[in-house]
Amino acid sequence: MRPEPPRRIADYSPLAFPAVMLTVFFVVPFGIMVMVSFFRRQQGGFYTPDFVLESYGRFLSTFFGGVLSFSLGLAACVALICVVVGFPFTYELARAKRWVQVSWLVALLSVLSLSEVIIGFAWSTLLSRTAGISNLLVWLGMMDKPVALTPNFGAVLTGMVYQAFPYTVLVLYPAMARLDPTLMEAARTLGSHPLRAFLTVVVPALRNTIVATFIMVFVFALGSYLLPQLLGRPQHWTLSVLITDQAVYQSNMPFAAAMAVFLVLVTLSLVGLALLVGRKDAAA
Amino acid sequence: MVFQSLALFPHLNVGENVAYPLRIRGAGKADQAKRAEELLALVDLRGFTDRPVSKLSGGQRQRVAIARALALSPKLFLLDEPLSALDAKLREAMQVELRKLQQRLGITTIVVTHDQREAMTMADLVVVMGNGRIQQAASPVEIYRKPVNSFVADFIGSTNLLPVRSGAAGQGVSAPGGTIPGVALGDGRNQATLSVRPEDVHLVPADQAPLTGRISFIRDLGASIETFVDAEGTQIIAVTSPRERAGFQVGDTVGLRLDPEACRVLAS
Amino acid sequence: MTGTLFRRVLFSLVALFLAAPLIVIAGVSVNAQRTLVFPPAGFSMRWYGAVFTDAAWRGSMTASVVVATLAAALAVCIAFPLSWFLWRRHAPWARVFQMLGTAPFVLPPVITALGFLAFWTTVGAYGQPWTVVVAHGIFFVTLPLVTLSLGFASIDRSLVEAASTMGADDRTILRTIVLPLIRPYLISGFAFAFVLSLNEYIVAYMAVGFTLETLPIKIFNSLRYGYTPTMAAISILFVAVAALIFGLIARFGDLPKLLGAWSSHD
Repeated sequence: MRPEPPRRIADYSPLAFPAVMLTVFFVVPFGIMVMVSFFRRQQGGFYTPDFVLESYGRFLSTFFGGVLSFSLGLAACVALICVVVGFPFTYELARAKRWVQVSWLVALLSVLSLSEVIIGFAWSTLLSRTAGISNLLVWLGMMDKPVALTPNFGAVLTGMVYQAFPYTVLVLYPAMARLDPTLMEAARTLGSHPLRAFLTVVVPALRNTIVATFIMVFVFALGSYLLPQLLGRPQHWTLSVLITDQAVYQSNMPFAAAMAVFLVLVTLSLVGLALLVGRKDAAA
Repeated sequence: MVFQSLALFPHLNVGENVAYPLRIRGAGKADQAKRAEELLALVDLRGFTDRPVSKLSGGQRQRVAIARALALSPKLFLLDEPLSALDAKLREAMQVELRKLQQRLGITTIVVTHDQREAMTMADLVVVMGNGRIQQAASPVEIYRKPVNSFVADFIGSTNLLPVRSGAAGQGVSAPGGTIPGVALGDGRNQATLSVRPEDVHLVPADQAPLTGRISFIRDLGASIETFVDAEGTQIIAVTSPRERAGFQVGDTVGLRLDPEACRVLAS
Repeated sequence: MTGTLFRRVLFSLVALFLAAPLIVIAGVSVNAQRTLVFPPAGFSMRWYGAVFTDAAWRGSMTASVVVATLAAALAVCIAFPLSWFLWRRHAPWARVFQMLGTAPFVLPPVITALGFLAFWTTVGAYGQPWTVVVAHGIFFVTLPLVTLSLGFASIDRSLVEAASTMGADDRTILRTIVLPLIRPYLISGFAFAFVLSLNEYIVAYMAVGFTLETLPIKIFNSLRYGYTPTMAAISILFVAVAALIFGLIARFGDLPKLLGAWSSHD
């Protein structure tokens, strides 16, 4: 039964509640935020309705530029590592026996749902001087003294990869599960070594999916707020941290809003790009 | 109505599926159960009431779908390619069963199918449609013996379609490979298409028939032998039973004798 | 077979990577003393008990669970009519609402958090506990929306047509055919939203951070002021709850299918 266009007013009724909720509680807050980004900031944490671009002007400072490029670079590193490891991992996962797949999916979902706070706490513990890997290595006799591996860039990177990896796998999973299993088989019967077959057949076949996943993980990593604070020093703080800082502690809503708008534009264009790229794969 | 995909509700068992039409009309549980049992008995599935749908074979699912469609004692029974999802052997058996059921219940039934054997088996009236138009509506035998155009001739059973021209007076028509005596084009036409079924093409030694060609391929199917003859570029197929094996080989030149009664002259 | 060896090694390494922090936290949580050491020096389960006996932690836990339940319910209430409408009717313009539903989740969370902060401040409701329920409900609409879209797509339309030919109207079809078939996706959508709401920090923080301490907020605050193994115990509990919920979904449903693994012969 093909879906028909709605005819009577009553046919539109299911849409009423969702439409109202989404408009009032998403479009309006978002609109307010955009408006606030143009308001004039006043001392003491207030802002007056106005139309000034001074908040956006602060983008041009080297400080902001530094934070922005750091955020983008960090997100790119995270996305790269996750995709490079996640791609073969998900490929193997989709081929595994059903009980193996289900167990892994449950585990991945559980890790994915972990609060950023908990992940930050867990990794800061794991990398600490009193309760971490180095203690284990000392205990095993492989090191002399325990050493704090945090806070530093590596710690932030590790924590974010930990957070983004399950997401990467779950994004890749549908495509991998639907991949024609006879592709690899065909390559093997033509004499190709498994690794070569993988690199020359599977990877190109899913090229667009890989790119789209990279973009999605990139966007996901951009949103990380707590991990840079828990595992890094202020020079490692990302745009999300800066926005919150300005909004809550510096009481500079217009600037925070302006940065948020900027971040939204970047994100939306990336997501749009990912959808376009991903659609080409689906159509293929 | 019975759907091509059968559309059995996966979350209900057999009895609940069959009783669904009654349930949504507010029939009581007892009435539903009673009717379900009646209908399942009708389709030879007694005792299947509590079976989950996923545990049925293809033929059983088919019969549950039929039982469900009959629940409300409809005046008109619609089946949309009902047997296309079954394997060949089961399909043949179900065609006969469906026809017997339909005759027993006496319900007017419309069956949509692309399988012409099915149409020929089950129908009192066959309507052949092509390009959205009705090409011919007649009894199965009439459709087979007297197709009105080449579409119908080719669609039902297999046929040879030969382009023919009027020949010299009294000599019948000229066709690829020679002439066919005893056939007239009529209506002042100069050319037409001739339809002749493979079983009406008889193979004889080349000098005994006015139409000849070379054998390009022979397909021995056990129950019948198909001989592919190439007559001036046109392929003519003759079907014979093994008992009439005439000993021809691929490459032989052979004569084709066509019974004029079995040749149909078509406009296009 | 290099293939199998590679797979075993890869899976083991990833498993180790994913499990390592959790193992450490688990070890730390059973440490008898109030210190952060690993391997643990002395075994005690009292920190798990403290989660329930300590009034502050218990209050946070209750707050988190209540908020998560209500928010997940709200998310489902928004997502269900929307996805049903999109499936049942041909209305391309309505896709705009689908995008609105997906947007908050795709954007960095701080955006949604900030948006809500501005909103609640403007309407004067900033700090009220129910604001976080609404905020989370909207923020997590994507999850049931995605699972329900998958679910509806998997319903064979000829079932609806068959019911209709038997005389069922739209409401009857919804009640007797659609709802039973969509139930697993409703439940999993609710479960995903629930688990994520439990764990969510920043949207909650910017909405009610100063008045209501959900568990993640409390943990983060506690981290600044000093460490207690109770935090570790709670972390393990969170993981366990999530694993339990997802395990139940896997047990009673087809998890690979829910996550999009449709083979061509489905």
